Amino acid sequence: MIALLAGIAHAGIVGDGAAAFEQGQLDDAISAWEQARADGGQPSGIVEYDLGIAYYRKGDLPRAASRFRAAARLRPRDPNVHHNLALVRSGLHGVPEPVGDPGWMQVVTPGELGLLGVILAGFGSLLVTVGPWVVSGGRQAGMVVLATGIVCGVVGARGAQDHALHPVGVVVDEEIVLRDAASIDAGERLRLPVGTEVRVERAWDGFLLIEDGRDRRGWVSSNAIDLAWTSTRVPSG
Amino acid sequence: MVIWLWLVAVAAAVQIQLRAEPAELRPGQAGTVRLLVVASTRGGPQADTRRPPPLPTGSGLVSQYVGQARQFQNVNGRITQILEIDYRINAVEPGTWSVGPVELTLDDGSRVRADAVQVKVAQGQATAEADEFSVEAGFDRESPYEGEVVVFHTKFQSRIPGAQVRWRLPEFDGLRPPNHGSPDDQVYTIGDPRGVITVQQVFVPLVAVATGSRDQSAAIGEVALPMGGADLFGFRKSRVEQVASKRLKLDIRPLPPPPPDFSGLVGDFEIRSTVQLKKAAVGQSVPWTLLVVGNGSLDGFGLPPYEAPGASIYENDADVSARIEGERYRATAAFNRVIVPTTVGELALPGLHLVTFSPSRGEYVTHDIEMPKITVVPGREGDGAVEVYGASGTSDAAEPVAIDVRPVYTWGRATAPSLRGLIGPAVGLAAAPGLLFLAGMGLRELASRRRLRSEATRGPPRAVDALRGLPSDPAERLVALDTALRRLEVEGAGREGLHEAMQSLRARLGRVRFGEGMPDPTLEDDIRKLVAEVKP
Repeated sequence: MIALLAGIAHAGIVGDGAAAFEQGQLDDAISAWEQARADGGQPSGIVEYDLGIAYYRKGDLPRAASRFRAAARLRPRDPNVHHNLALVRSGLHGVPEPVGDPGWMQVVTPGELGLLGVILAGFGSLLVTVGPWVVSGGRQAGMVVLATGIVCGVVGARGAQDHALHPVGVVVDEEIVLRDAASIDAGERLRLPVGTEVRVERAWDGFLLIEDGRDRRGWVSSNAIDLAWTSTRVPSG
Repeated sequence: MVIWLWLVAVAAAVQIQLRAEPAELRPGQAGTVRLLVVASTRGGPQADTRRPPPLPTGSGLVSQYVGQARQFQNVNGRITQILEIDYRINAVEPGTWSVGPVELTLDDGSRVRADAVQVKVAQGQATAEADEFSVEAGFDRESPYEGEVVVFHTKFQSRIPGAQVRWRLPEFDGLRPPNHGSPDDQVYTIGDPRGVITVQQVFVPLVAVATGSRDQSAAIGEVALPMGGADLFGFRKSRVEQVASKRLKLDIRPLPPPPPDFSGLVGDFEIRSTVQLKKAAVGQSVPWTLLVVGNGSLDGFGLPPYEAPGASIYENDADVSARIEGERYRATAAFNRVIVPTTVGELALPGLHLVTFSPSRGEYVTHDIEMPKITVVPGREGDGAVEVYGASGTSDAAEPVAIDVRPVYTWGRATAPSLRGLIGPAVGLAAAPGLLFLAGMGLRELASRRRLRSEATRGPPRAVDALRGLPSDPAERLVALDTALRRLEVEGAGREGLHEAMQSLRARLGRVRFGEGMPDPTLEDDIRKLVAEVKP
């Protein structure tokens, strides 16, 4: 409830940023939209989407891709997000195939699936307990619904956990070097061009262990990657 | 009756058609006029049929709405909805009268129209021969040309309810069925003041493939006429009569010497060409459809090669279909081609010429199909690869459009609370009552099974059990002692000396229970001792 009220309170941010954007003041628009991140808030899919457009207009395609990835995570069924993400990717030449999400995350968010699981589990519980008195075969149906709800809930919770622990990041500013260990003196493993979308596996002392979607891993300085979503707790160590 | 759609290629649009059954009536008789509304079930406009459209008729006919029925057919993989709106028409005055046309308003505001059909009202009353039944069989023409389609038809009509006919058709000499267009069965009724007339008609299309006089012998019909009332099971006896048509003869005429570019089509054909775009970009696909419609067979027919300077022509698919329409054969072929302009400028497509033989005119006919000019603008012609654009059906070529990002959202929530930490507990909370209930049920089931298993393995009650926890009430205590002795008798059966000891104890117990009620202080101990001695 608190989060909902906070979201409503911040709703003006979208309009403020849009007004600045319409006047061509891209930096002001970005600042306004970035306000949603103040006090540890997680920007909504709308703000991430708008930020992606602002970065695109500024010509910063990697950051635009990062914002659109975040928007796609929160609004998987929004065609505008996928259109813009595809457009940004088409402007990034020579980058490897982006890391993907599980197929179901392109249809529902983990939160939506978890919510569905809660509803199904509750309904299934109701059917199991009072179903036989209401409808013939109610208990059996209830067990099926309950099991479905639990599976949905577990998958949703697991997906949300996976999102939090392993966010997607995009290489920004300049080419990065993947190293053997979390040190600038460690051996060089691989170089990834600007715009490469990678998955973060864990963090250590200002470094991130990333995976490029083809099972190639390496350590990289955390400021070389723009994480698509930041209210995450990347496991350290 | 097989309702084959009159244009399978246009299933996406709404098509309507009027059919009169029969096409000839006599004064006082009534027939049926059917309005067929064919529409695609997938999108597209639909006809509003809540109020059936009025059916205008000539002054010699009176029409009345009867009812409507809906059915669905799969036509070339597309589900098509067919609505049949039936009208009853009563013949009033002799003459040839038109029925229709009918206009329907679709839900998108557009209108479709069904052309009028003719119904003839013949002079006089129905002939007396029709009182029981009558049959007819024959070809629609006697002197067809080689390659022409003739239609063999049979007709049976009777006033006797339930009367039926089964035809044995002759071996058609010099004729073969066309690849497209199957025989059509039609059954309808004619309302008549002297009783309803049921009419069964069969139309069989055949292609003349030989020349000369061809004797087809006769068609034999077996007519089953119900007689008497129904038996116990509802069946009626019927008498069978055999009837034969007159001898069927055909004189198949050879074709005159053909011109060198003769297409092989024999029949009266109409050819229509449709090019969907008047303006296109270089490399853009321009759909071109050539529709050939006529009363001849289209078996094996293909369009002649076609080339156009400044464009590449690609063959696409072709839809060929045929059916019996009314009493006539009608074939339709839609040839789809794609024109891809290769040079900028005015693309002048050369005309197309097709030579067919017209049986009605008795001569070869050249169809000249004019082709439109296409304005070709510069497009995105790549390095040899042909790019295919979607055929939108618009008349203008698509201008190159820069792809841009979609606009920003101007309102909405700015933050998105995460449900990550809540999903698991919430699911657990929601599932807990059900899971606990199921767990309780499982435990109860487990306990029940355990009890059953222990009862199944437990032996018969023993004497020592009866002595365990004797009741305090003296009378009940004595009953328990008696029970112990009875069980002991079973447990110690065959033991030496037991019988005598038990007899003694029973006598003592009997004295205490049923005698003078004198106490026997050692009786209980003696019984216990004996029970202890006898071990199972």
